[in-house]
Amino acid sequence: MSGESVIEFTGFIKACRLFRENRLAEAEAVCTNLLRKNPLDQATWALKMQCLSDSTYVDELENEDMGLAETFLDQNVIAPNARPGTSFARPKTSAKGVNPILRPTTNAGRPLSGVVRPQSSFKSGSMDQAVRTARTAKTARAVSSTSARNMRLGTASMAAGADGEFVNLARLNIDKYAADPQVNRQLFEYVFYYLNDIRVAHQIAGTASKAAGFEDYYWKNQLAKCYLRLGMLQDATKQLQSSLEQKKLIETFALLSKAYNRVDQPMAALKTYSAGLEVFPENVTMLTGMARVQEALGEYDESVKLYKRVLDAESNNIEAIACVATTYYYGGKPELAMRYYRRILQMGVSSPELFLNIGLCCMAAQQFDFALSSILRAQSTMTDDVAADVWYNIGQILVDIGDLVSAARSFRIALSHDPDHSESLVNLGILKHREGKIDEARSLYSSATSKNPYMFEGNYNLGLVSFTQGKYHECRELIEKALAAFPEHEHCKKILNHLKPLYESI
Amino acid sequence: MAKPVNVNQSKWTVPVLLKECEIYCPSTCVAFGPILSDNDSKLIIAHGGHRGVNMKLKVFQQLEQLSESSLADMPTALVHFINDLSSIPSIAVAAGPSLLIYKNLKPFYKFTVPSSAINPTESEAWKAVVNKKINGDTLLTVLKRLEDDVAFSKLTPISQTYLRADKETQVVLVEHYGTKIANSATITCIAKLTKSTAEPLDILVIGTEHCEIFLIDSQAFTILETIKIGSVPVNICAYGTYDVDYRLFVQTRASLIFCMKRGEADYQPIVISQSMITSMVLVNKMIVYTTVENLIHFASFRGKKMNTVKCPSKIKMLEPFIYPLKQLAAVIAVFDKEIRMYNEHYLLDTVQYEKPLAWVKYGCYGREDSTLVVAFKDGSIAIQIFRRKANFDTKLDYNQVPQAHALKLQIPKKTKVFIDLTQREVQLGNRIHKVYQKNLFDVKYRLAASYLELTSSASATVSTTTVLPVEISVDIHGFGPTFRMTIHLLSSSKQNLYDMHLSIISDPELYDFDTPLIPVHLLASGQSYSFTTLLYCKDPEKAANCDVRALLVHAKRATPIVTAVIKMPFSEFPLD
Repeated sequence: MSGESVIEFTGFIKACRLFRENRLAEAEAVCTNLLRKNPLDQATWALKMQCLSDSTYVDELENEDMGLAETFLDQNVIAPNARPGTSFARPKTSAKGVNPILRPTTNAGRPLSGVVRPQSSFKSGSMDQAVRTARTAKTARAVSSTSARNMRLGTASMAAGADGEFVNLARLNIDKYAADPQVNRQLFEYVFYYLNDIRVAHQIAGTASKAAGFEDYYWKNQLAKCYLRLGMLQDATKQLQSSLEQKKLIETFALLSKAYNRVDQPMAALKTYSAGLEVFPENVTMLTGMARVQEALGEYDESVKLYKRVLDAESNNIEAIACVATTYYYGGKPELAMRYYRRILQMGVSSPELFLNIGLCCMAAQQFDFALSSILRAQSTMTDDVAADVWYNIGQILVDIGDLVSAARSFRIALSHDPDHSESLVNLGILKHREGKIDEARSLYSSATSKNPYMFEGNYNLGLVSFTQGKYHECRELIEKALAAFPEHEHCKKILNHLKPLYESI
Repeated sequence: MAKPVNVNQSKWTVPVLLKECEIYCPSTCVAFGPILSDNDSKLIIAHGGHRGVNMKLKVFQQLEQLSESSLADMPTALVHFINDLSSIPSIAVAAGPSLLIYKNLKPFYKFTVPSSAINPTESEAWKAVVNKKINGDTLLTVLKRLEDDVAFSKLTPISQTYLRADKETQVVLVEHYGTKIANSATITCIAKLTKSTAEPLDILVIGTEHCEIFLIDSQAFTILETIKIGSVPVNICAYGTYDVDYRLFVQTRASLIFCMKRGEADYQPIVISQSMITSMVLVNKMIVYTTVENLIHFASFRGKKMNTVKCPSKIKMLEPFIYPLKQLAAVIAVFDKEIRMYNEHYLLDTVQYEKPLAWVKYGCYGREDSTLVVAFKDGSIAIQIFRRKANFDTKLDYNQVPQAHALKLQIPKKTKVFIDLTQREVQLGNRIHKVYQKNLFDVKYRLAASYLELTSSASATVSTTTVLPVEISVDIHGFGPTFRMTIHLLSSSKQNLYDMHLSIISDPELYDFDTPLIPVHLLASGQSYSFTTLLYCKDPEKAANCDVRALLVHAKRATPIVTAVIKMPFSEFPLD
């Protein structure tokens, strides 16, 4: 056995192979060594930039984090008083009979979706509300104008610069490198993803696009990404449309729809997605995007139909499975929802939320042996951010079982994990109310409504207490708020009808 | 005067009052039909007058009274019928036990219902009193005894009157009627039935107080059939022809409706109503009847209830409405100041009047096929015509239920998985229960453990002890690096709480506080207190954040009373 010699790669080839095998850190180390020997080696330089930017790569399509300022100080919205159903801000009227009692809502007053995504926490209401409530405790929502993810990306560059920053942007001749088609893509991605310096990235993309004679769709897309990050949505739309004329790409369609969503034009976004579907039939990205928009508009039937199409195309799409499961659960078929959640479990996801959902489905489908064990599992694996929800659901189950003392305790534990958990506050209030401690119940309801003013239950229950105590004025205000969340609620209307003659008689 | 309220949409023309007339009569004493040689349909009314005075048979043409003739007895019902194909039709007025037949508005014949058997004791007593063998008082005692023995209604009309009359009248009664005592029953209702389609003669159907129904040949006035039923008939509706097949629907005083078919001998009620039936008509092969509970029932000829209308107020009477040109059929229900038209599914029309109504009659008047004669309580009579362009396109659901009630519950279908799971429950019930009990114990154990931890550390925003029920909530205002922290405290304990402190704790590397320890001298029950402090983020560039805790502590307690844990937001960079 003599002739067999192991081929040992060295130098740039080695770095390339390591990069191919996605061993980014090792590839980067090799590049660093090479650059020490020859700092002017452009190929190595580019490869190192590629390694660095790949390590912090974020799918720009899913990056929906918006800060407080972007959410509320938004001058991009075209129609402030949109017709119902054509705006995310006014989905309520077209939400076909969605009953907040049957399908609970989030803090922002939207019905729960199957998955948590930044988009689903779009906030309706005033900025004042957001400033006051959002930051009192642990919420996932970024409150300041800088969102958590961008912050982390920005800090990454500082940590890396142990022996000096790799590329010093201030001293880099941007015009020269940006015009060089050999390295400009790597440079752009490095600046955009790794350094997170959008202004420079925009400069690079602009120069590169010009150098390519405004003929390169790639640079148009990159420019659009920069504009999206900078909040210049009109420019982003223009770039993307021009890019689509040159080449039809999935990414372009998706980015264009995203831009439309940001300016609150869901109908235009839907149109773009369907145009994309014509070019790329049954494409998962398009279908998922459409489904999300429909869900945000309150068209659950449409949304679930689209998610089912997603599942036909890609049967392991977790978002689609979860959304379909949620719909089944709230549609009164928990046993089917359980099957879907079990499928997610089989695909290797095991989060406390998933176990909790399986537990709740089992409970609703009367599979008591699995119900409690799944919930126990969720409880033992839960992280701090879901602890309140887990305890709240344990409380709900204990209410179902009939152990009200334990239920009250578990709501209290939920509140210790998240003092803003308004559902727990309301349910604790109801339990106190049953015990006859009206004042305690009242204070619990009122803190629930102050923490989540869009909540139907809190407003309604507090309204009821006020009604029985004869505080009619307060009651009317609360009931009107409750009706805003659930316009069809019969009892609210009855109470208002009771109050009307009292007002008229004065 | 009697204008309907909304004229524009009305299906009826504006009512026109008849000139100079004042009519008081029940709705049974009204009929339409040609009675003179001009073949024009007239309005015939048997006017009841006042207490037996001024009883008249009146005939109207157009808007004027054409003629009137006196009536000898109080009319109960009136019918217009054809008894001779070659000559003009006649009128039959039921008064007491007799039918008075008028032809060409002149008295023509008097038919009296045959007398039933008189109780022998009764007739003997009367004979005796006429022959002066006994006096009036003895007669009274005999009759009273008879009343207890056989029942009041079984006595002859004259005995009934005698029992209820005062002394002087009794003497007069004996003088006038004592010799010719008869037991012919009073006619309660009258109807007509066509003999056959080829020979359009009418058969008269009359019901009497003696629970009998007679079918009378109107040519020779011979009784064709006698039917005995169990209750007093008060209203008869006839359907079909006598020679081929007919049905008589008889409403009785006992709130039963009987159906009599040709060739059947045994009559059972087809409708047995719990509440009193007030009116009955036939529309479109349906029996429509009303009860005192303000309900209109639509029933099939077999008595099966098809639909029920709930009306807002008392229904005075029903009148059938048939408009053959457009094949419209409905029932007119008369209320106090309005009429409503219903069919078996919908409310079709409502007409309102300014005066209370007495009755309405629908039929052919003059040359107009569909005329409605409306009589008011004050005696005036108005005439309305159904517009030729009117239709029943706008329909309203009667029994309008609120929509929430009309919605059906969406009960999900049973899935196969559900059935499988149920099967599993049946097979493994025992084991499922055991596992469930064990897990429930586990859940409760963990809950207890967590709660114990919570109470011992008092890291809750709502106090867990019942001795010191205090609630805390914290707001953070600002974007950084300077934040304002506002702490709200609310005590719901019975006594005021004294001498406590609010302590604010966090990582000293990250935040600086203006006042880390705030004295809380007094917490009055039910009052909300707020305390404020500024906090500075030392190094926003680090972009780190950590929890800040606000504790309410008391010098004599080892653990804090309540705790608020706040996750601080990322700080903005300072504005320079």
